[in-house]
Amino acid sequence: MQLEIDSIRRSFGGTPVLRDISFALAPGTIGCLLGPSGCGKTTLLRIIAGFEAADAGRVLADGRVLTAPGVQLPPHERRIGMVFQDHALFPHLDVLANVAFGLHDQPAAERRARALELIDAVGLAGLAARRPHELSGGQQQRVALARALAPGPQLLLLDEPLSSLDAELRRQLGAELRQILKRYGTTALLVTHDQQEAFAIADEVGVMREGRIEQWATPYDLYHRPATRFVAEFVGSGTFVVGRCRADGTIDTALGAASALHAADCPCTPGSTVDLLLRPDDVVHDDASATTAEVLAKAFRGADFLYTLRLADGTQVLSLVPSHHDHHIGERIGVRLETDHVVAFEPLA
Amino acid sequence: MAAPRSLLSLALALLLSAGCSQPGAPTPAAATDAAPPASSPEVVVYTARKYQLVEDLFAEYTQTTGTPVRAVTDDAGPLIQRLRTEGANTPADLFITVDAGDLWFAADQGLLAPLDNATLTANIPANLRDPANRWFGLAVRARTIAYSTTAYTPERFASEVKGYADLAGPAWKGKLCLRSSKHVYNRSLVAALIARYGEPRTEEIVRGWIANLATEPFSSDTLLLEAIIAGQCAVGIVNHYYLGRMIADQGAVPVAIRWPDQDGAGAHVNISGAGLTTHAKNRDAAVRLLEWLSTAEVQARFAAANQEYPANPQAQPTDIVRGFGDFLRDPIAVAEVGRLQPTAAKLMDRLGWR
Amino acid sequence: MALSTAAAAREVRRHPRPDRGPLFVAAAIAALPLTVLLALALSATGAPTEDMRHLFEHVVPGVLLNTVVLVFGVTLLAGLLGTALAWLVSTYDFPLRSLFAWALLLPMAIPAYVLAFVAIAGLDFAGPVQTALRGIFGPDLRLPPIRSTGGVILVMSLALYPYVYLLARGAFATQGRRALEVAASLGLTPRQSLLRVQLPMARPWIAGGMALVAMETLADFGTVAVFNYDTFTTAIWRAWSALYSIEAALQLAGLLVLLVAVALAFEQRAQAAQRHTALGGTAAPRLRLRGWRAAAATALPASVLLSALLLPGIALLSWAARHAAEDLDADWWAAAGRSMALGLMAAALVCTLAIALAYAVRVRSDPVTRGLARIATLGYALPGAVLAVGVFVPMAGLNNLLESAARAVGGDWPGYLQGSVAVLLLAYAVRFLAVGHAPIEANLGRITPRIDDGARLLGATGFALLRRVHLPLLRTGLLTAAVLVFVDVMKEMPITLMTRPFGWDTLAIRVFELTSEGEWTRAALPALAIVLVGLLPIALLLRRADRPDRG
Repeated sequence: MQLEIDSIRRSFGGTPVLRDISFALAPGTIGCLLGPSGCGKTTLLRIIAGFEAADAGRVLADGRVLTAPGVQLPPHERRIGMVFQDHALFPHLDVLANVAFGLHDQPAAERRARALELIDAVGLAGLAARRPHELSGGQQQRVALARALAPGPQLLLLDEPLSSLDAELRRQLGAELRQILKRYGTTALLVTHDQQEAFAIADEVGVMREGRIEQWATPYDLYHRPATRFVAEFVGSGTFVVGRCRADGTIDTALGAASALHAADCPCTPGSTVDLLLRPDDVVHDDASATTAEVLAKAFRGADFLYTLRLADGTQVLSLVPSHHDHHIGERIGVRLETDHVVAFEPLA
Repeated sequence: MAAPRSLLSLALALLLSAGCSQPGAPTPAAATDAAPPASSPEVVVYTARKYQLVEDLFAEYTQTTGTPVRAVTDDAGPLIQRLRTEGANTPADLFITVDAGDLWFAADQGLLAPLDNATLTANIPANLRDPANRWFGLAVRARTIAYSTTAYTPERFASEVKGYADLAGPAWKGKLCLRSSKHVYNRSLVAALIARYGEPRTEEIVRGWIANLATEPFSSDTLLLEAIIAGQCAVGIVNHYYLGRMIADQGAVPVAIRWPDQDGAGAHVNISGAGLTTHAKNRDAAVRLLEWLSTAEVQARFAAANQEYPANPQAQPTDIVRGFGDFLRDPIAVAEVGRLQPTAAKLMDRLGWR
Repeated sequence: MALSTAAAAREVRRHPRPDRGPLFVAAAIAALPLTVLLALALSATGAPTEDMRHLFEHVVPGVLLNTVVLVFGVTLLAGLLGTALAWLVSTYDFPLRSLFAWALLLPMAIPAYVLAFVAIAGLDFAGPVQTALRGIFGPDLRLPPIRSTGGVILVMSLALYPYVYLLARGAFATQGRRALEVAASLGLTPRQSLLRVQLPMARPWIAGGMALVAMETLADFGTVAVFNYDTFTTAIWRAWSALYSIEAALQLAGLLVLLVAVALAFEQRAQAAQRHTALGGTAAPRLRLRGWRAAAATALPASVLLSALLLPGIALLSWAARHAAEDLDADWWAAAGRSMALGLMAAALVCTLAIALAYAVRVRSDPVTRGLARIATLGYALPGAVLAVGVFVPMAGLNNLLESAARAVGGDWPGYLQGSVAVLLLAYAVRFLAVGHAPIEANLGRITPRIDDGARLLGATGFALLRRVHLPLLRTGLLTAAVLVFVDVMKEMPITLMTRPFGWDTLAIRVFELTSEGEWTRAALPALAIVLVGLLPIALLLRRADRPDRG
């Protein structure tokens, strides 16, 4: 299903929560709204589901109006499924009955077959007779997914689907979730504050801040080509260093010159100063480099270390270094810049 | 239907066998020879006659004699059970009921002590007390016929109804109101009829009454009288004092009393009476209270509180009650009526008088 | 996945090793009514078979049918009313909704027997309503009689629906919006949601309320007596007071208890595995109704309140005003004080026992403990008068024993055990444990084992767990239980009559004494006082319940 969000506005008690939100999802795409809590992403999801009304703007599904001024299609007529953050399984029903819950217009045998198929698809074969309280958190979320998918919704909304699970389970279930959604070709929209969750599941991600979408892009572009300073800071880790633009298009920094510039939107004019975003993988450890930095902190992450380094001018940067380079805190190590997509913003006032 | 019934009988059997294997409620006999504790200057009364009808007299007695009177009210059944259960340890000295049957039963259970007392035998006529003097009537109430004076002139009604049996005739179809058979007053009346006519004839009369009912039986005589006034029924059987109270409350009402069977056995009367308990701790004080209650002066007020007839012939009823006129009372001993009450209850059950 | 599933299942079944303590607690509490029942059975020595034959031939078949009709009728109607009203006020917004939300609970303060005598005095043929109508439409106007099966069912339902309303409202309120949203996202219309989600999820609470109504109906004597509607209780009374056969009466009572036990066992079975926690989400926003829907939504609670509270209240007030001058003396105030004192003491005792019982079952959930809990709450279905005898017999026996013992050692037994407030309170506890147990158990059911685990990890176990974690979470359930018991004790008649010590005449006893002499209008004053005193704690309960954010 083609989902189209057109100029949605919503405020609560005079405080705008959504300010002119527009985006579209192509059929079969998994979209994601990523943002800190309070950015309005959940409100938008609830407007799409029909649980809340919008003050202005439209929600369309394949051109059909779901929400528009004067139009508010009730949730149960939207054919939109939803997976809730707290799973929200019906405690009075077993797994089979929970999954079959939305299949109310079919013969019992078909309902059962469809429900069992989905229980199998989410990897819970054999647990159909369990009660929700007899399941682990991850299992409960699988049931919630199966239940939402069973009626074959045009669109599936997922509200922080993995946030109540532990990290390991989140990674595993995220990948699985994406697989299942792709298998059924479901158009889906999830909201989360966790970029790992967003990147693991979504094809496209919109980063939201204070009721606006700051950038709508693929996870790769969000990470490497953030459109705003907020996106740059919110997605992935990184630090800003001061850079001076030179006439040849390169930027001079305390780590040396950044060679390649992010093509568009660079506020560089020769001689001006910019803030340059450096991802940890942009700063490479190189004993041969003339530029050195002091190790302030280090975090062992298995394959590599994440070093927090202080440059000569006091600027701190992060650097991802293969873990056989084990340096002590206080040690000075050589570093250099290795950038594919340097991102620069005008310095803060 | 088979399963539930067998379940019932199984349950019953279990209960019965459980019951039979063990002696029943504690019997009082064992402790009687023990000396009662020293008499304290108070009387404890178990009374089925309600508190508002006795409290003023008890208060007055306490004031004049200095003897406190403590009363526990309840229906007669629970009070009798309480006496039975407490046995020799009962705190009760006097037992007061509003029905001869209850007195008879209490006496029959050995809960009341015989009392040869000249004052009491002089004040209370023989037919209003136990032949063995275990209880004494204190007030008399008549269960009589009341009819609507809107529907009938006294002359016409008198010509059509001479007694209880006449109300069973087809002329009264849809015009008769009765109180519930669960009340002791009706049970007592039917018991008196059984004593008078025998069971088969009584059954005929009661069957006729039920066939003539204008509406379901009422739960109280007051409601019944109101139904006569409202025109729901033309005639009913009530205790005379309910009409007396109504007149005392509201003035004249369009209901009159027809004393039944004045050419024959007379109107059925019942008593509210008292007896000394077998295990009374304050025997002398209790007897003094009982004597006091039987004196003509107190009798008048005892009866007046409820528009009844005093048991002591020296005392006069209220003006309202005197206005009902003199009448012939059924002379049958109230003890006999008490004895026949279970028979009466079964008869009413059989005929479906609710 | 399979491995972690098994582990999860083990995790859920894992419980701290059950010790024997809880079992003993449950057994001790269950022993109260068991002693009563045993006493009843033992005192029923060889009833005259003639009497039993008579009762079974002429009385029992009729009253059995009547009882079944009454219990089914009242339970269904009160269940329907209570559930519908609770659903209405928690799902929709309409004029006067917030007023109705708490006012609908107030009729709980009106004893059913009071509502009955008001209804008959007001609505019977001779009452003011029909008299006025005959004045308009002529003397031959005949309306359906109020003194009928339908009438008694209606009146008892109006008096008892608040039990269902109270529990159902709590259930609907705590379901939150999430359940409805899930259902809507799965394509269910609001009406389908009601049937498939809201009602099934509220079922344990609704069923609990209906069970209370059913037991209250079974045990009722006052209301059916006013209506002259013969039930099993009437038959017991008949055997006792008319046939002078306490033995036959007790055997009938035993039979009644057995029937109740069987019915409850079925109910229990149907409820098995139904206890669960609620779905999350904030309280659902109420949907605003407009136009005729709003009018209809206002009309239903309004008419219930009018007939169950306002009109009876006005009638009581007008009657009470007639006698207030002469009856409102020091004695009267003392009676009101004793009613309240007994209510408070009984509420404290019952709540303590109910918590102990609920915990015993929670900690040690084997069939034996659950069965004991069931027995412990059986007293609610026993007619009060019979239960009073059942308490009285063993107490008097004990008293006599102590007296003999005292005398044997040359001493003197000072008091009458059966005449102490303790006995009265014990009888109340046997009678009303079910009332206190239901809300506490329901509330406890919502405290998930995870909370227990969390607290245990922090070092709170056993009594500390109860005091520091559960009691605060149980406040609502405890308060509900205490209020229900308090109000019930205020209304209670037969047990108070039979087991009260000297001088403990209460308001309900005043009502009894006056109504049994046909003095309906004079009974209005104490009846009104019972209603008013009962309203206070109910209002307190409501103030709390209207703040769903609290435990």
